Parts: sequence; structure tokens; C-alpha cells
Amino acid sequence: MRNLFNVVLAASLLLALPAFVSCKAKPSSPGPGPAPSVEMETEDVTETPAPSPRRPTEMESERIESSLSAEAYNRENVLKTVYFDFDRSNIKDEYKAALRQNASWIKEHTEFSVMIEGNCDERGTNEYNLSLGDRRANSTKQYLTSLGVPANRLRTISYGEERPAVRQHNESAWSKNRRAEFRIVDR
Amino acid sequence: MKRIFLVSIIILSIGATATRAQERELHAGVSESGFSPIRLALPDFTNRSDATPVEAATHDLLRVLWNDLDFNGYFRLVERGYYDLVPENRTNGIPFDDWTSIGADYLLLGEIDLEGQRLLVESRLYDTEHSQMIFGKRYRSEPDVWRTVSHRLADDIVLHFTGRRGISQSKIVYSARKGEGKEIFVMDYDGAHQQQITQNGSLNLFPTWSPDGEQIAFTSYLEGWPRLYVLDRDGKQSRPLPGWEGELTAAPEWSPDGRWLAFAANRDGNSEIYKMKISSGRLVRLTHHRAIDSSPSWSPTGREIAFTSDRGGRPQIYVMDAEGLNVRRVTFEGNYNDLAAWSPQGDKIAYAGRDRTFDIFVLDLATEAVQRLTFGPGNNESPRWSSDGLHLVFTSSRGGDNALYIMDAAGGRLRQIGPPHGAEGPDWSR
Repeated sequence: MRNLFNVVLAASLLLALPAFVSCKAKPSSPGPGPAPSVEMETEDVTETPAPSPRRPTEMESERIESSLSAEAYNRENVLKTVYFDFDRSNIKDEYKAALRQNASWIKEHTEFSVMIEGNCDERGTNEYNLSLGDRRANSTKQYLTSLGVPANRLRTISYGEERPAVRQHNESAWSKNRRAEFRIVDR
Repeated sequence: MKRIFLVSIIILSIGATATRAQERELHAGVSESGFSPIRLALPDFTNRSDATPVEAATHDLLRVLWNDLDFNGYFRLVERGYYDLVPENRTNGIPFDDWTSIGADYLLLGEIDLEGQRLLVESRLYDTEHSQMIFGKRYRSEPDVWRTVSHRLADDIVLHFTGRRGISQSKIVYSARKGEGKEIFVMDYDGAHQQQITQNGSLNLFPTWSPDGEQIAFTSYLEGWPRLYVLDRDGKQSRPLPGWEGELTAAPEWSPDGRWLAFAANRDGNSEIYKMKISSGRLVRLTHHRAIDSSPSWSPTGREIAFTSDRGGRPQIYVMDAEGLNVRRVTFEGNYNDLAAWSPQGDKIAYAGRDRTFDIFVLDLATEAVQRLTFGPGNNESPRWSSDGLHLVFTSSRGGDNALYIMDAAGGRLRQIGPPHGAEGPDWSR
């Protein structure tokens, strides 16, 4: 497109040149001839059309991206899930790096809040697991606030054993279900 | 089921010589384990009408009555195969000697007829040894509530023999999978009349009956976070209790006087036991500990509350008084004990104990003896007592998926009730 404009511009200038010369030659006769109209056309091409179709497009595409991004970020799993030992809610060393990354992402993206969802495997009772999931969500929240994430941007909820990630009944499934997940939400 | 059950009862006569000593003996017998049950024969009721509704009701009514009397634990029903050995009634009356000879100490006879548009059920109970009638009642009802007549008759017979209120008319509330969520359902104790009473598509959990059986409290994620609600028994009216957005409130339990709900709530980063006065919303915090405190259960006097806490490292059952003082641990066997259910008589606490999987245990508070009632397979949890203290309902995954089971308080007479899949967290009405 830019090349095409350059070609048009060059062509217009070439066309305009004799007229310009002739104008200089006869300055006292502005006249209604074709020459001035050619000059005006040249200005139209260089200034108005070139930016006008491009700038609004760029602005629109940015606005669409920002309105979808909580969902989009969730789909991309930008915040990493952390896992727990059976009947425990302490943050294991192996997940501290992931939580540091989560913390810096949350601190950078001030336009969002984050819901921390505590979950359990099926082996405890539903009632106790609701409290245990709650405690996992809160210990995760505490770790993030200790890394400087403002507490008012973090909320917690427990689903106990009601929302398993893997619906199977073995240790492999259970270890994937004992977790705290992060859901990015608009503030 | 909201239809008013119209039944009129006429006491036909009471055998004057039914000895009080004999009844006392029976009564004392049932309060012990290993009592000898009452041997009762229950032949088909006589159909006095050829009308279709009577024909249908005659068979079904007896089947339900048989199930009620067989399950409640007071009776041993004489097998039907022997009834053919007894001749038809002779002109001089019921052949009591023949009934006695097949092992029936008592005989229940019944007749069903249509009176106008209404069902008429007449039943008489006989002492075969003394050849006399000891109990008789007549019931009138709409034809389609014959099941209620069965349950009422069964409870009247239990009351006559034991002086105790039976459980045949009781109901069970539970939570069951429905689509993506879980909804609250109510059914008769024998699994009939399953009725869905919430329809919100959310997670609805931990339903419990109010002591008068008119209301149900439960936890719902309807607003996106677990909050307490109170619902009429027919599901028509529901209201949220005062709550705090985003904070956990779970597993409500009515106090025996119906004025308070105890529940687990997280208001400051940790699950504690609270109680709320239902009329005013006044909140009282009962536990103060960094551990998880959950699943409260009131003693029948309302003076104490059992609950689960992992303050000793693992979840165990503790008891405190209803103001939160005098906390003491009551379970010591096993490393994961949860879901205490205080018996209606106050002498026992049923709970779920974990040893790889969960099983149902009963703790005798006086002797501190622990009795194990289930032995797998799968998880067996969420025990709740019937009002007579002789039965338990619980959730079991023994069939692969969670379903509800009832059994007697010694672990016998186990049977699955209600939907075969996806039902859990039952509570038994008083």
C-alpha cells in the first residue's frame, strides 16, 4: 500500500510539474484551467487518504483485545496452578517459583482481580474438604500477599471436592485434584 | 405430598386382658441389643370391593406395610410361605392355634374397601396365644395416598407395642447430582416420592431438617460463593440467611429447639464453628483455633455440640458446650474421624472414620466403646440417625457411585434407597 501511494504521489508530482512551471511562467493568470485542480488532487493523496484507513483499524483492534483479555488470559493459563499434599494446605517449595511468577503477573496487570479457588481430592468428607479447600485458597493468598500482591485484588473460594480436575479414583487423579487454581476476573 | 392426609381413626376395641407385664417385657426388650423380636404374621388384606383403585391399593399397601414392619426392627415377620398351612377362617372364627403353630405370636389382618370415593382400610391385631384382638383401627383416605395409610398403620402398631413413635412416616432430605450442579431432594424414608425441591442449577449441599420438619437449611453456591439458605419443605419459599460475600458458610445444623443454626464459617481466614439465632441473625462464634473446625452436631438437649477439628494434627471428633467452652476430644481410634451425628437419645455419636476408605462407627459416650458398623466397600460416610435412634442413613460409594443406604444401628438390614447414582449428604426427619 505504501509503495502504491508513493507511486501515485510521484506520478502526481510529475503531472503537476508542468503546471507548476506554467504557473510560475504566468503568475498573473490563476485561471480555472486543469492545473490547480491537479495540484489539489495531489494534496488529497499525500495527506488525507494515507493515514485515515490505517489509524482507526489499529485503535479498534486494541480495544477488542483488552475487553476479552480476562477470559483470554484464563484460556492461556498465564497463572499456574499449585498442588498440595493430602490433608495439607502449606505451600510446597516446588511451587514457590510458580507463585512468584503469578505474583509478578498480577502486580503488572493492575486492571484485574484474581479469584483463588481451593480444591480437594475426594478422599476426605465433603464438609471437611470444603474447609480444607478454603484453607488452601487462603494459604495461597497469604503467600501472594507476602510477595507484595495487594490483598484487595485477591479473593478466595472453596469448592471442596465438588470440582475435580480429573474424575478418576486413584492417586494420580487425587494429586491433580488437591490444588489451588487462579481465575482472572475484571476488577 | 402437601395434600392434607385425611384419615379418620376409630379405635374398634382393645383387648382388656392384654397383660401390661407382657408389654413391659417387649418394651424393655427392644431397648437392648439382641432383644427377641415380636413374631408377627401379615397375610394379604382382604379386598371387599372390585373397584380398580382398591385392587391396585390392596397389593401395594401390604407390600409397603410389610417393608415398614420388617425394617423397623421390632418385628420378625413370619414367612409368607407358611401361611398356606393355615386354613381359611372357620365359622367359629380365626384359627389362632394354626397361626401359633407356624410361629406367629401375633396376627395382623386387614380389609380394604371403597366408601364413596375414599379408601377405607380396617386393620385388627390379634394375640394368637390368647385368641384375642388387642388393637384395631380404621383409616379413610384419598385412594392415591394409600402409601401414607400403610406408613401410618405401621407407626400405630409400633406405638402400640413399644410406646415409641415409629419412623415409617419420616422423610429423608439429600443432595443429588443434576446436570452440572447438585440439587436438594426429599423422599419418604423408604425411597418413595422423590421430589426435587431446588431448581437453581448451582451446587446445593448439606441439607438438614428443622426439628419440626417444616424447613430445610442448606448451603448453596447460588450467588457464586457458599451461603446458607432456609427452604420450606415443599421447596416453594427460600430465603438466604445473613452472609458475607465470598466467605465460606457450610453444613448448617438446627438446634433441637429450632431457634439456632450451628455451622462452619470462615470469616477471618480459617474455618470456625458459629451459631446464628435464626430470628435475629445474631452470630456467636464458638471456636477459636488456628485449626479447621467443621461439621457441628447438637446434642439432643441442645447443651452440647460435637464437631470435627484437626487441632490435634488430624481430624478428630470433639465436644464442647453450646457456648463454646469445655472442649474435649472424644475419638482416639484412627487418624481421620469426621461428620459426627449425635443420637436422638443422646447416648451415642455416629461418625465416619477413615482407614484408607471411610466407614461408619458409633461411639458410646458412657462406656467410650467404639463399634464399627460398615466394612466397606467404598466410602461410607455422612451418617444420620432416625428419630427412634435404631437406624442410620448414610452415603456410600460401595456401588461405584455415591448413593444412600439405610441400616439398623447395629449395622444390619442394610438396603439402598432413593436414586442409585449421585445422591449424598442425607438427613433424616424426626
